[in-house]
Amino acid sequence: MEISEFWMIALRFGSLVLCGVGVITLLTLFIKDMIGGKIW
Amino acid sequence: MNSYAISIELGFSLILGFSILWIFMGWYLGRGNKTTEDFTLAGRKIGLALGTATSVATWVTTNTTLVAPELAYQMGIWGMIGYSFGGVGLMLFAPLAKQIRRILPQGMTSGDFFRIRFGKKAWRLFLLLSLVYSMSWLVSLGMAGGILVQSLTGIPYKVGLTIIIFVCVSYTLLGGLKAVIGTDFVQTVLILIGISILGAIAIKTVPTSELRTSMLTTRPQLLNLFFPAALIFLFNNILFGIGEIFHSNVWWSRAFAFREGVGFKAFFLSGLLWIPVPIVAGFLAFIAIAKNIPVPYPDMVGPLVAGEILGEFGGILVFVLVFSALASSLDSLLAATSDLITEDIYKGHFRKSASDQEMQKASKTAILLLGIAAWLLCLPRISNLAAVLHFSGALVASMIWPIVLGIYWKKANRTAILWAMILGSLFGLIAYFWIGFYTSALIGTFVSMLVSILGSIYKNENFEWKEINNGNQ
Repeated sequence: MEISEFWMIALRFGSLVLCGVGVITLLTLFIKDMIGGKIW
Repeated sequence: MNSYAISIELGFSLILGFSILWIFMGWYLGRGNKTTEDFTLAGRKIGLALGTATSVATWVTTNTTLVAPELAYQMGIWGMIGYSFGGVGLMLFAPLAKQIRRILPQGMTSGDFFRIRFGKKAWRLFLLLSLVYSMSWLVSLGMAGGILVQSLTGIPYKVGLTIIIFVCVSYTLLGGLKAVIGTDFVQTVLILIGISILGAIAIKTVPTSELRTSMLTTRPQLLNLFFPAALIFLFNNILFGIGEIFHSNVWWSRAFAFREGVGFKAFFLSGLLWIPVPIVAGFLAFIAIAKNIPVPYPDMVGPLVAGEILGEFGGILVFVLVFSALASSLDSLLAATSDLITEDIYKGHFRKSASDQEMQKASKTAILLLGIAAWLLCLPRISNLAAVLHFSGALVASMIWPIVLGIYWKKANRTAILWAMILGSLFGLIAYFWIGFYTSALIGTFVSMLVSILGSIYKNENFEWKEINNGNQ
């Protein structure tokens, strides 16, 4: 049984969106740590 | 006319630019290091942002960016998803990291755990297995770097390899773990941005419906959800990833270095952020099939497709991405392995009364020697990156149960654990050679689990971590 087109699209788009979310999360956490003096 | 994605001049300029940036950051971040603990554990005060980023960056290696497409090309959809399940290891390490800080508040390496919990024989076996794993990881990273530089720019393999190892050794020497983690943050952001751009352009170039239709015509088995070898690979890879993370000092040193309360969140979040990266990279391989792009070396399918669909820009993107992935893992491995060598071998076996100054000197010497050893081992280029990576699968998988049981089960018996590691490694290696690389971690984990649990039930201990913390370490 082959993977359906729907799941292939979901996998391709979903992973791409998560990568973008990752960048935003990291930068937000960095700013938060910087304000709280907790980077190091 | 040259056939490379980017010109040799541009390649050298990129390498030079990044080398200057990493070495400057290493020097800048390492200025405040005074003690061995500052150098090896960054003062044990790493916050959530840097903690998460360093875990993502270290786990996104050249293997992720080159081997994930290679596996997708050979094993299809499950090869790619199977690789991405390596992120589960990071998430499962989250509760362990919390517990590690509690049971060993002044711990320095994962060797401390084996020595204290299971005694000297298991500790020495752990050191042997861990050093074999570390060297095979170092070699696979170095080789991947040299291969990539050559295939994208035409810079000879040995030249690219030498520059990469020289740069990583230099900034790790200058700044210790602070340099490693500081550069990791920048590298993670570059990796995630780079892969996002690459994935987005790939979707625009070859839409998913077109991709699927072409694959159904040419290689339908790659889309098969019941592809047996790929399914075995999926489970094997989960266990391999868990084994790598659970035992390696790369991750234990981070658990020790993170600020109190950060470990669990940082590891769990980094696992979530890591999972999509191999999937985005893996889809590139499907484009090679859909577009009938000839692939002479499967491990180069990712860069090949990037160059094919994006030209020079794709080449630059892949170069930045893989160079960042490479440096972020190579530096972590150099730092963590040198800690094992200095703390567990040098101090643990030969110079028990070594002063702080002596340890700092030993640590830097170990980083330098490791760099030289990795360089020498990488010079003869081995053809299959995945083979190098998976060779140590059995060894690391045999340590999953000993670590989990040692942390959570006071009855785990040290003799049973020692035999679990020996027999798990042995049977895993037999499976590697007789059945296939995708079974070694699976068999290694299973045998090790049986021996450690049954052996501990047959004759159990009554070990208390509290007593250790009240006494000495």
